[in-house]
Parts: sequence; C-alpha cells; structure tokens
Amino acid sequence: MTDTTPSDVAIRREPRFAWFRQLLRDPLGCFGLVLVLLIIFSAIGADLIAPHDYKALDVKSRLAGPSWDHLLGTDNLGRDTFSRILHGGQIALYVALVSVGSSLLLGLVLGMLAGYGPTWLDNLLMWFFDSVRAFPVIMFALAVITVVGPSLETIIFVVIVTTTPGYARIARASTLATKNTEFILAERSLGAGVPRIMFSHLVPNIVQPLLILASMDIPVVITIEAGLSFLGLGVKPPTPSWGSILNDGYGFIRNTPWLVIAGGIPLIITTLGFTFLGEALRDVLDPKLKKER
Amino acid sequence: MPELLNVEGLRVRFRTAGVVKSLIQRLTDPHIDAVMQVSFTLNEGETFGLVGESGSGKTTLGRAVIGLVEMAEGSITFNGTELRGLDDARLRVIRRHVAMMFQDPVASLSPRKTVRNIITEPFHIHRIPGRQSGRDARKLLNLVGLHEGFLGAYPHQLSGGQARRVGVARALALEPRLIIADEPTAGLDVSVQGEILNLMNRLQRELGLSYLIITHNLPVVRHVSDRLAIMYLGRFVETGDTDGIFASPAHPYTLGLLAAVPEPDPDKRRDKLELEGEIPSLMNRPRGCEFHTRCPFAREKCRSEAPVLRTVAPGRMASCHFPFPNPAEAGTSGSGG
Amino acid sequence: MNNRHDTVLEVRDLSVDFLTGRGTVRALRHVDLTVPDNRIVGIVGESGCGKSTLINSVLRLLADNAVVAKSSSVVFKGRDVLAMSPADLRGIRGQEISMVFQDPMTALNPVISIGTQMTDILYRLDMSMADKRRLAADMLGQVGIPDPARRLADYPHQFSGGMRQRICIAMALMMNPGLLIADEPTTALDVTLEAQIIHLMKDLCARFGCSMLFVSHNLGLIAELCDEVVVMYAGEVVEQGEVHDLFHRAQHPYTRMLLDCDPARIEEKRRDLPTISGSVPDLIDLPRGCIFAPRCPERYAPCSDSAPATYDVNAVHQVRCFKVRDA
Repeated sequence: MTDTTPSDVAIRREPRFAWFRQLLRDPLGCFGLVLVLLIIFSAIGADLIAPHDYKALDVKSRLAGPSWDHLLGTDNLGRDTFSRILHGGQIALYVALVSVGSSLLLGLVLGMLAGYGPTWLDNLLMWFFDSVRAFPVIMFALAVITVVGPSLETIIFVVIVTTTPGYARIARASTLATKNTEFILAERSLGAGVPRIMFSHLVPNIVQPLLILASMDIPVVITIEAGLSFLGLGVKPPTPSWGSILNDGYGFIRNTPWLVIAGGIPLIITTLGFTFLGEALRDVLDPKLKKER
Repeated sequence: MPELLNVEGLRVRFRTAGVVKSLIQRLTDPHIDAVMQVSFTLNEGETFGLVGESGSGKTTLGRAVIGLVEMAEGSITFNGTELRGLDDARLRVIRRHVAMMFQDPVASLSPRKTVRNIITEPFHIHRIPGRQSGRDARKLLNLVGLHEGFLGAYPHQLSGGQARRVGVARALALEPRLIIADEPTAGLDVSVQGEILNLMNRLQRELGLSYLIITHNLPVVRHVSDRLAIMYLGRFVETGDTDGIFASPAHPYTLGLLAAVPEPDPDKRRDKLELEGEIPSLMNRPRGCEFHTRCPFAREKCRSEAPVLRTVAPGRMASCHFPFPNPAEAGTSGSGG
Repeated sequence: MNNRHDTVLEVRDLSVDFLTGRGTVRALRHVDLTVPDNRIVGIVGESGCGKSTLINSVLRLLADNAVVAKSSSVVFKGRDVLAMSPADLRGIRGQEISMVFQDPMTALNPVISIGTQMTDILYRLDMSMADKRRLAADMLGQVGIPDPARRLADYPHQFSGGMRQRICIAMALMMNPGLLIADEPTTALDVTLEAQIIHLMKDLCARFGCSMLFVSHNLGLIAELCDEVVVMYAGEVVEQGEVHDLFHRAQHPYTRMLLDCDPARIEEKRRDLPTISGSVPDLIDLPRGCIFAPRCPERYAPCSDSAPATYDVNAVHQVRCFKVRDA
C-alpha cells in the first residue's frame, strides 16, 4: 500500500510566542512594554511602595517642593503627592481596564451577533451603534453626570456606552469576512451549533484587532477619567486621581509647579506606553502589515 | 448493493436580490436555480462522481445533500429516511453518518486549533462521551497515515497533503457511511494526489464507505468513481457508469469536456477545439436546449425545444435530442452529430 | 555557447539564497536555462521546486532578503539583467519581457477601465490617444473579445474569468515583447476555457514572433504547448530537453515518476495510483549527494556521496543523474 507514506514526515515548527520575540525586537514596542509594566506594577504595589498615607494631612509642610521625605512634594493640604500619584494610578487603571474590558466583551458579542445573525438583527444593531456613536462623548458624559451624579461608576458607564460601538463594528466586519470561509462551513457540516461556531471558532480568529484597539483605547479612557476629575465631575475627594491632582496644581500654579508636573507626567507616560505597545502589537499580530522576513 | 442515498427531483434556489430591491426593480422572480431537477441514487460502498465546470451547481448539490443549503423542491432519502421536513434533532442524528470534505485542504481546518482539537471536534459537537481522549485522536491519525507528532500542530504548519489527511481524519471521526468530497485533489501536487486517492480507496474498502466526489478533474474521476453525472447549468446532462462515459460519451458537452483535457503526450496534440465560448449565466438560461449556444452540433430543434434526461442506452441517460450512438449497440439509438 | 542571435534568454549558473530567521534557504542552485528565438519553453515542477524564484530572478523582482550568487548570469538579448541599472530594468519589464499571471481576477485593477489600463501601458510610445485606443481595440480583437472598440470602456468585473485572462494576454503582448512569461495562466480556469486560452497563447506567440517561458505543474499542458521542457526539483534543474524526447525517453527517475503519477497518462483504469514516497528535502539543510537520492528508488553508491553534474543524453537532452553518466 503506497498511501501510508505521508507526503511529509517533518512538521514545520515555529517557536512558541514568536510574536512576543518579534515585539521585543521592536525598540518602540519594547519601550512601550516597559512603560506599561512600570505603570501596572506601581499601581498594583501602590500600598507597598507609597511612603505616606495618601490621605494623611501635614499642614505644616503645605505645597512643599521635592525632598527625600516627599519625593514629588506635597499638595495644598500637605498630602504626599507621590503617594497620591501611585494611588491615582490605581483609580486610572481600574477605570480603564474595567470599562475597556467590558466594551471589548460587549462589542465582541454584539458585533458577532450582527455579523453572524439574520439580516434584520444586523440592521437593528448597526442602526443602534451608529446612533450611539453620534453622541459627542464629553456632552454625553456631562449629561449623564448631571442626572446620576459624579462617581467612578458613572465614568465607567459612560465609557462603556461610547466605546462599545467601535469594537462591535470591527467584530462585525471580521465576522462577515470569516463566516463564509471553508472552516466555518466545515464546522457547520459537522452539525456544530451557532454558539459553538461563534465562541470556539470565530472568537479566536477575530479577537486580535479588538485587542490592539483596546490597548490603544486605554490611554484615551484614562484621559477621559482625568479630564472629568479635573472638572470635578469624576472621583470624589479624598480619593486621588491624576485629574484632580492636576486641578489642585492648576489652582496653586503660582505657588508651586510641582503639582502640575507630578499630575501630568503619569498621564504622558501612560499614553505613550500604551500607544507604542498597541502599535507594535498591531505590526506584529496583523498579518496584512507583516513585512517580508 | 443496498441503496444508501436517493435524491429525487432536487431543486436549489438562491435569492439574487432582497425583498425591497426586487420590489423596486419589479423583478418578477429574484431567484436563480443553482440545481434543477436532479435525481440519482448512491449505493453502499459505491463512488459517485459529480463532474462539471464552475457554475455547474455540483458544489451546491453536494452541500444540499448534507443540509448546508436548503432545497426548494424534491426529496433526499438517506438510508431509507426522508430528510425533508425532519426536525433539527433527528436531522443531527442522521447527519452523523454523512461527512463532508471541503476544497481547500488548509483553509477548511479551523486555523487556531491544533490537529488534536480539529479531529476530536465532531465528538464534542455530538457530545459523545469518552471519545474525546487522546487515544481516539491517535487512532484517527493512524488511520490516515499520520504519526502522533502531528497532534499538536496547527493547520498553517501542515503541507497540503498533510492537511488533506487531517481533513479525512475529521470526516472519519463519527464513523460515517457517506463522505462527500468536494475537489479532494485540489491544491495538491500530482505526486500527493495519488496518496490521498489511494488513502480514500483503502478506507472505502476497509470501512465500507460510500463517496460522492465533486470534481472538475476528469483524469482523476475516471480512476476513482464507479458512476458519473455530468452537470451543466445545474442539471444533469449525462449519467452512467464511468468506463462507459469515458469510452463513448452520448452528450456533446461530455465529449467536449473530455476533449478539453490535454493529453500528456506531445504526439497527441489537438489541432481543433470541441467547445467554444463560455458557460452562460444562470440569470438568463438559453431557451431550448441550454447547451445549444456552445454545441457544435446544434440544430433547429435544439434552439426551440428543451430535451429531457432520458435513457439512451442501458444504464446511460442523456439530455440531448441527438445523442451520440453507443458503440456497443451502434445504429439502434440516435443519429449523433 | 549558442549563437546570441538565436537566443532570447540565457540563464547561466543561477543560484539564489534567501536569508531567513531559520537559516539560509538555498532556493535555486546552479540553474541553466535557454529560451531560443520563437520557441516555447515549459518549466514543470511541484510546489517548492523554485519555479517562482526563477521567474522573479529573470525580472529581478526578488524579495529583499534574496542573495543572487556572484557567478550567476541572466542574459536577455545580449544584456545581463543582473547587472542592469534600475532605469534600464524598467525599460525591459513590461516592454521586452512581459508576464501573464495565475489569477486573472486580481491581475487587473478593478477600478480602472480596460481601455485606460491598456493605453497606460503604451505611455512610452509617441502616439495620439486615438491611435493608442485603436491599437488597444485591435489587440482585444486579436485575443477574441467580441466588439472590442466598445468594450474598452468596460471595467474588469464586467468580464468573465476567461475573458479577463484574454485581456491580460492582450496587455502582455501590446508592446510586442521578445519574451512572454506565463505563470500557471490557466489554473484558475475551467477545462474548456483552459484549452481555449492555451491555443490562443500558442497562436499569438507564433503571430507576434515572441518566445514564451511557460510555467505549469500540468504535464498535459506542457506536452500540448511547449517545444522544450525543463523539469525542476527542489531548486535544481534535474532534466531538460526537447518535448518529445523528454516525454518519451525521460531519463531522470524524478521525471519518470512524475510522468507515471499523472492520472491522465494511466491508460488502464486503476484504483491504486502511483505516488512518489518521501518528501521534498528541507532547502536549509540539503542532503550531501544528489538532491533526489533520499526518494529515488534507483539510487546507488555514487548518489549519496556527491551531487551529479549535468550530463548529455543527446544534443537536445540533458540530465542531472549519475546513471546517465555511467550508462
């Protein structure tokens, strides 16, 4: 019998996590990764790293400049700015991860339903998404906050509502492109149901562009949170936020520049970090942009 | 041989325009018929070949049999059970006995699953307990001549021939009785084609499988199929046993197809072509015999009157007003071109 | 050495390596190829044999990581393509060497009309627009497109696949090139169309006095169309010769096995089809001896020690196999 000789014995093996190695080879991506890791670790370990209690008042040393005791100085109530920045990072990342994560999940599911489901559902969902996308984000946020009152949850809600349509659109487009491929037909011919096809076979093939978009969206959300807190519409004091620290600094800029600097730098680091990482991820993961080796 | 599959008067229609668009454009019928009035039977252990050019409806017919596209008219009987009107649960049970292999060996495998997951997928879908183990995966790979090292591989790491074997293994997982193979040799090198066809042949003998092979590759279908149907614009134009059709085609289209295959012998070069022109669009089928626009032997009757598929010789049917005579009984039927 | 006036393309000792993360892929090794005037040369081989690398080397369209060996030469009408300046090269591409690609669906720009695409090719010619359109319509007529003057305004999607490949052929021949390279031009087409296109290409090449390099894995087409055949395996030319000689008196075991595998050449109906066991070697880690030795049923002592040179069977037939030398 000649057929038992496989045409090829060897399997072309690729090293595991090849994309990760490629990411490390990209200097900007590497830089972004380092910044992102720095932010994440400082936020997680805020309680351990912070030299002072972020709520502790020290009226004697108000608006002090940097010193060994207060690395980034103190604010108008004498609270240690460095400790407040670290805890502010917790708030920023919490808002960003929860809201971006939820929009990603929600957008993925709704987008897949639109792409894979019947035409009327697609039309309905698309009409809904387009209407939501038509709201200006800040106006919408102000309106919601006016009705519900400022809180962390309100910010998260606003962000989820305004960013979900973007994810849903991408998920829908990828679903439409994937649903008529032969491997999906093959699964259908085996008798696989819709949930199995969607979650077991579609998701792994369409989730990559969403993850890239998410990593680029995180700094945007952090800026929204900071912006609303700056306006006093975000987190309530004494909870620290980069936005409220900036706002405090703005009020006392004639006395000391340190508050504004301390509140601004983490925002810049976060934005740069996530953006570089997102772009590098896109280059590495998106096969259409892949350069010839 | 007992009958396994019987297709009777099958018709498959596709919508070409939405409800609103067809109202606006006042289209009388916004449908095209991809498959029309197709009837055939497939016996157990038999290989039936569906041959035609692109747009002939051969792939649609195959997909209709496994239920991937809906039929508009006709009936499909599998192992004595009429599939039309069956509820989903009972259809699923019957479909376990029918498996399909798709054209592109690599693209028909889920790209982010390992070979192990791909070939045990049917067990998960049909919730067959105890069959999801690595032992069953290894057994399936063994059956198609791949060693265990492939269990952890992803589709893009496989060559065309290897991916095709994985596709066969997946088709075999639920121990089907019928495998519908859409272009089983497409995208494979000549030397690998033979391997896959031999494998399918061995499995047929060992497991008693029936095959419905959909292909445009005439040299291949000649070696692997017992009976053939030639399709043109969604209809059967000729059916019969493979050897007979290759020896003496009755329909001019069959003759044209056979003559279009280049012979790998420089001494047998052709100086003239049998078939000119291209397949007409399904949107406007020619009147009369649908093949008359390309038929070198077309006469007046062909332009006005549509022929029906009728028996032209024992075991041979053709839809032609003037079929070529069968050499076995020359002079008794038709006048030929 | 052949007389230069009789030769359109002469490839000598062409070796191409690709530098990749895994190592150096030795894609082509010591390839010799001659395309004489007014002849059709076929290249046959299975996937991974180096057909595309060979074509891309002739047009110098290789990827950035390709390294062409110093000793290689690709001479087109007396000029070395490998040593040409980018400007000279552009003058040759599309004008003196033109190509017909595999997929007619993607080879034409979908948003530009056929007439504009065709007259754009003629930008180098000093000719009025009306004359250019007349020439384009004439070419379309020659490739069998009905009502050509009117169809110049149409877009690619308004033509069927077969018609599009005819248009591609018309565009390739418009500048009256010395060499037409056809890379599997009929794989995307049905059998009846394939036969039409092959006959068209043969007729036109004879009419335009153009040589052709025809790449295919279909032995039937090669036999039908070509005057000479080059058989490639894993980056080497293992056998080349006049078409009748090669099909009837193939010498290299690979060529013979390849011919045996073609179901169209098997007269008796049989269920058990011949195959070539084993697999194409990894081009990064080549075997020491003959490239085909690991799969060759006829190998003997010298095959695994050193690589065979090319030996003459007769004046028009060369084989890279020790058995021919020792015969």
